[in-house]
Amino acid sequence: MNFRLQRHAAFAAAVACVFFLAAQMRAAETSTTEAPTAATIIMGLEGVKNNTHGKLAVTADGLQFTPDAGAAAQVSVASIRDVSVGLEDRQVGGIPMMMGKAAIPYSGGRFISLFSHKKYDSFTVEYVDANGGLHGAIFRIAKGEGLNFRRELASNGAKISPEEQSPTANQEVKNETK
Amino acid sequence: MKPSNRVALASSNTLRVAAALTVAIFALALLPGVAHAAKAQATPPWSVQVDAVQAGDIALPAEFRIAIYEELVSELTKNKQFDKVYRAGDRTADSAPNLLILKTTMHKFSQGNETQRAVTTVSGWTKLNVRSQLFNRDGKLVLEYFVDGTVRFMGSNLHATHILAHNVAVTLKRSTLPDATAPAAAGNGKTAGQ
Repeated sequence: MNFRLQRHAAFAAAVACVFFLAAQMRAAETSTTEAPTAATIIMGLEGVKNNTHGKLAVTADGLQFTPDAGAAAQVSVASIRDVSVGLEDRQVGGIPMMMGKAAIPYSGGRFISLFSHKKYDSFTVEYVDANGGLHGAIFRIAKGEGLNFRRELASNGAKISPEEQSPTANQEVKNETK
Repeated sequence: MKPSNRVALASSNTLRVAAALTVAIFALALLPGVAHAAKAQATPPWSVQVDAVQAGDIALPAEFRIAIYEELVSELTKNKQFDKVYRAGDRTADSAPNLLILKTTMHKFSQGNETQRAVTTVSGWTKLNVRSQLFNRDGKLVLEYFVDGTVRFMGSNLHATHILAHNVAVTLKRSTLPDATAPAAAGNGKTAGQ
């Protein structure tokens, strides 16, 4: 009897843990991006070198990227023409991982490749400079953060096309115009 | 001949040789500069305005569209074929004397998958094919090319945009631009790229 009670208590505790973890994950997914988020500028931000790591944040004036070393760059809300979010994946570990994979015999590196890729959001901001010239900045941010940034910029008054693009990357898509 | 005279003659010969060598070195040093100046004079004073990439009927993700545009601006600036490279919508381009407009339209697009490439090496390629057209101010077609950019093994999907833009810049550099004083249509439909 006592043993059965203990089993029920353990089961109830496990279920509670699962619900708690699920709630935590959902909270993390829907969290706002008020705090700066780690990001990498892939290309296109004026005054910042490509592939620079830093922090991305939405401020009252617009979108601010602060590199780990160097001055911050800002894209004002008024200059933004569109914002879109996509989904990409990339290999983690850089060159050491690549060398390690190549060193594994019998093409074992391919097996490692299955687990050495990480998905991320590509956050694209189209904006114009003082002369009206079009620029496009592409950021790499954690998966799920892109839509939060998009929503915040829209609520700050940035011009964003109404239809929300669903991330469609990571599947081979072939297109051809006739 | 006295030994002192012999020494004096030898030293004067050495001086003459040294002087001749110095003159030769200076002349050689000047040659590239002269060649460069001649080349600079020969380069047509064209400027180019890069238009935003048109996806047409193709479902092209925004990051690819923007990456192609940014890479084109970067590669054409690096290339130094054109006097100045303007971005789409740049108002200062209106006053540029000899302006060409580069229009890029997606022709074929196949978005690959980096993981699939790494695992199989024979699939998951990212392939881009664009129609690159140069127009003059009057809207007359000056040049037209189809250019490819493909990532087969190494690199992210977006790396294809860099390869594509590089191929466009190389193709434009290899082609002959019309005389800036009398621009004329000389359209051709070659395919370039990898």
